[in-house]
Amino acid sequence: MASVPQLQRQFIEYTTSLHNEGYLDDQFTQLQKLQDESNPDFVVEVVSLYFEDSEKLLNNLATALQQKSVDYKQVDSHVHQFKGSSSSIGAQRVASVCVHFRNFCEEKNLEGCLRCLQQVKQEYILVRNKLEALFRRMMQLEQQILQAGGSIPMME
Amino acid sequence: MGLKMQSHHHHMVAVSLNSDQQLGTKRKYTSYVPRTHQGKYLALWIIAFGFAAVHVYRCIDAGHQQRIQEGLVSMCDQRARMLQDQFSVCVNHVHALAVLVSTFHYYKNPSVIDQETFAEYTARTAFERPLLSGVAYAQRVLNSQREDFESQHGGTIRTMANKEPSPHRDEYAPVIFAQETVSYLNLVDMMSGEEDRENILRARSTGKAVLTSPFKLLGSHHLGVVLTIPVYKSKLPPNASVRDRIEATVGYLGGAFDVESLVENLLGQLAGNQEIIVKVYDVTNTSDPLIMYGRQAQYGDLTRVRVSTLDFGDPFRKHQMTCRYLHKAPISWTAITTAFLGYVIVFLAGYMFYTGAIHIVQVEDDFHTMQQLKVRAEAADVTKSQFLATVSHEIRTPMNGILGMLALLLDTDLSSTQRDYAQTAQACGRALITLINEVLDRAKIEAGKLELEAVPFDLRSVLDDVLSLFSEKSRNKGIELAVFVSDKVPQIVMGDPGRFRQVITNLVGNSVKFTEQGHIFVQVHLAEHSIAVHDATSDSCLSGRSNGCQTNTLSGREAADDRNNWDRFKHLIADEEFPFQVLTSDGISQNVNLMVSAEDTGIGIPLHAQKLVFMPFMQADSSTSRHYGGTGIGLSISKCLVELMGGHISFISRPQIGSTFSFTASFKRCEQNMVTDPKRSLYDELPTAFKGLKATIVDTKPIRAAVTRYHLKRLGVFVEVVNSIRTVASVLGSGQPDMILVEKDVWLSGDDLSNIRASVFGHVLKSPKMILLATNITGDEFDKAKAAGFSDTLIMKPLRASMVAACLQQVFGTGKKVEQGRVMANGSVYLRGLLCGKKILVVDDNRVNRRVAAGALKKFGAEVECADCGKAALDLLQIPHGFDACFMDIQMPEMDGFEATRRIREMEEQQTSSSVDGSCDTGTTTEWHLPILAMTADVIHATFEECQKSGMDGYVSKPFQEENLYQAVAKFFESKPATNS
Repeated sequence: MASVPQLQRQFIEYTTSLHNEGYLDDQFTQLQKLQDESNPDFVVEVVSLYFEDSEKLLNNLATALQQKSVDYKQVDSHVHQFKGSSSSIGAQRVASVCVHFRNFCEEKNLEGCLRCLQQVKQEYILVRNKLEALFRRMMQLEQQILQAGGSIPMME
Repeated sequence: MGLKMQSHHHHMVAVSLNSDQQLGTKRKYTSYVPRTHQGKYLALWIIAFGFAAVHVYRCIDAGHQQRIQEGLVSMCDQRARMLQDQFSVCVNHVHALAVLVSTFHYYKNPSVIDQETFAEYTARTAFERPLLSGVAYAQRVLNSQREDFESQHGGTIRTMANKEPSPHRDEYAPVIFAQETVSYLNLVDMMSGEEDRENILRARSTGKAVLTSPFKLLGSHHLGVVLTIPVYKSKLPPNASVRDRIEATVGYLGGAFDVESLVENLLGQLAGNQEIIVKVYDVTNTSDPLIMYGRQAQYGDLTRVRVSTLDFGDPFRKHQMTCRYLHKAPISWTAITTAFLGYVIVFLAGYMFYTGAIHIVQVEDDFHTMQQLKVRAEAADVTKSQFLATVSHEIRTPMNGILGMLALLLDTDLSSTQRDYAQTAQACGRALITLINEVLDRAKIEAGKLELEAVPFDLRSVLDDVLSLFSEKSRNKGIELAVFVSDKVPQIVMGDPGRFRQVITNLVGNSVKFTEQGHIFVQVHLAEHSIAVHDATSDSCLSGRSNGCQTNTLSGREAADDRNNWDRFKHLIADEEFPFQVLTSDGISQNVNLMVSAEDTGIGIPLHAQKLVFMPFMQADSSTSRHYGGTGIGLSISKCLVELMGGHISFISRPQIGSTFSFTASFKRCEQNMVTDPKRSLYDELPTAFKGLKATIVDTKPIRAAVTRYHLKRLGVFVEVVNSIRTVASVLGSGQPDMILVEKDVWLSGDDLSNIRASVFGHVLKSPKMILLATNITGDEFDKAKAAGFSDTLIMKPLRASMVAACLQQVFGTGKKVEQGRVMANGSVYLRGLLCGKKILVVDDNRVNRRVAAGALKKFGAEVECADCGKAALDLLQIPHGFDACFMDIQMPEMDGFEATRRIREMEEQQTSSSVDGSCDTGTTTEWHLPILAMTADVIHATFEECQKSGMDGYVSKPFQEENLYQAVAKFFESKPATNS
């Protein structure tokens, strides 16, 4: 069994690795900070809300872009939503693709929009996998740490 | 990160394009110069004025020609008239001869005229008839009378042609009298010549002088005409018939005009004879004019001719004179030169316009290009600042991670070496963050994005804070660090405390960095007062410089700005003995202009570098930065900040002596009732327990004493200053002091304190507390001081009111404990305090955002309710409601944040006005004004004004960050914290 500091370090390293790879930014750390005893599942709750919303939005976007005459205003508002929620949970790569997406929307560039939709989907799936893995890993680590009698380290 | 950067790049390009377009639409000035085809315009100009020149030439030339023509006319007419006159004179004379003949030959019987008489008479009167070669009288002889006649005259009648005896005819006209010149005509029948015959017939039928057509005269080869005048035997009535006349005719008087020599003579008398050719014609038969004078050939100037009619008195014959110039008229040089010179001038003017136009067009083009370049340069500058801002921000995020990790690392078990490494890394990281913040500040200032706050603050406590930052360093170096704020400066002013602190920190930081011994002295005065005193004392100080002014500074070392010594300071604080209430409380001016100076006795700034001091990234030289560190950006930021605060910064520096930086800044006066209880809510309160105590300061240096007094006065302590411990006793008249503060150097310089203490205060029950003031003190000295009687306490400089208070508390043992639990404003605990129990509405259409915002606010103890669109928010905010604040997303479908806010404000206004109308129900006539904060992801574009326009109170950038949230929320809740919690 690993020692508590070691586990704590692993815990931090894992979260940091997500940062370094650019999937998540500071905002996610902020989210983690918001989680406390009174609100123990805050991060999971928000992130699963995000997953639900995102899948809905991605579907909406796909349908909207398949229409014969594409309503770019609507597409734009979907992308705006998507960008907003992504930056709220700190999924910065998704958010930055959304910025491009909106530019294409403004230009009414269907090809660009479709390409961005693919990118956004990819990024989203990546970040979802990462987050899910993170949650699993964290649960594990937390349990281990708690078992070992340590406390969950907070990110600065 | 990469993607983000790219997106920013796109953004920036868009910005610059936009500015280009704006320029294009803005630049609509009218140009009065053709931009193309200047060459064509020039050609057109030249051609047009070419025609004009020709026209001018023609006009002038026409006048010239007319004058020539007029000359010709006058000459011709003159000649014609003279010729005519002379001719008629001759004719008249011949007439007279005719009368003579008729009178003396026919009326006298017998005739008294014979050939001799006639010849004699005519010869003697020939001068009267210069034009006539000769005159002769022919008698009319009918055929029947021929024989008688011939016999009477002794000869036969001969013909003119061959002088033979005349053949038989009806009538003859033989010459009976002749002038000698024509004596060969004697008895020649004048009617035998065709022309003469016709002439004779015509003459006798008309009774007038008649002329023949020109012919070659007998005896000369000149052209001539023959004049014939009839002689009647009786006087005829004027209306006699032709028949009567013929009947009455008795003879004919004739003469030959030698026209050629006549005209020749005449012309010879006149001027200008050589210039013109004169011809005289007989034009009785108009189709065949007969020349009388002049050569037949046409020569001379054929273009100009003048014809004058001649009247020789014979109505049957018509004569005329034609005149021509011999030479063609000369070309009019005046006309040509006038026209040509005019044309040249106009041509040159045209050329000037042409080159001018080309030049103007070129200059305009250059101007245009330069303007574009300027716009591009400005855009690039903005882009640079934005880039800096962005990059700095981007660097800060990972740096926070690094610092966080280091903090965690330092919490773990580390060997001392590892700890040292980690601490060094952390220190470096902090330094880097500071640098980045500075760069960010500068970029923000350059991009015009930095806005100053206007919140009430206590600048004395700000200065104390700054002092506390550097107290450790200054103590280590043994520098005297002090601050003094004039009493005239109000306690609370409105302004940006953070930025003010930043400037002061920067100046003091520099001073501390570059000063090894001596002092650093920060003073704050009212700018007006400071200037007034400066004016008043500048003279006296100039004279006082020689006699050791420099010793009168804070530490006794010479300072750069010698005016900053006690002589001046005395004046500045002079009024404070009797507080000068008018300036501070009349409220006429809403502005408080402060003059802040920071004086040090450091290494100074080399003269060559003094110009560069306020340039970013400039230090005196590279060795400076190697030796002292730092980037040199601080002063340039300070300058910008000072300018933003409506002041300006300057300095006086003397190498190896020190520098004095001073700046002015303008703050707003703060109304006391505007902030309910500013001291309580905003600032550390100074304890009031020492009010009314008396203190005596023993100090030889007046400025230092003034600083000490300043801090004590803030605590409400009455202060007296004396020069030495000996004199303490002399001021006892006003009562015994509660404490005596002694400077270390005064104490060391001699007086034994304990004796004096014993002797002076020995009889008093409660002896005053003895306090030693020192910048630094060694262990030995400390022991000695204790032994000498400073058992009470030692106050280490720099002095700060709160620190002095703490020490005094210790000395006097006042039981009152200062509430140390007060949380400093920048912690989340503080935020919790602000938000705890507040009811907050979060409006956002995005579920995730809403949840996060709510989570964040809940974490700080707020009670959060959510609305997913503007309408729902309006429903929830129907008055009365219990919300304390509202966070509003800006971009929402249907009704965006601005619109929703406007409606909420409308609702509130209605409510307020109606509650004023019927102010009965609760008695609370408070205005409804819900603080509404915009939430936006786009901080750059969402300017504060835009939010304010729609009635919002501020904005928070999304996603929420603690400090951000704190700054925004603090503004509202800070000022009225006591009302709800």
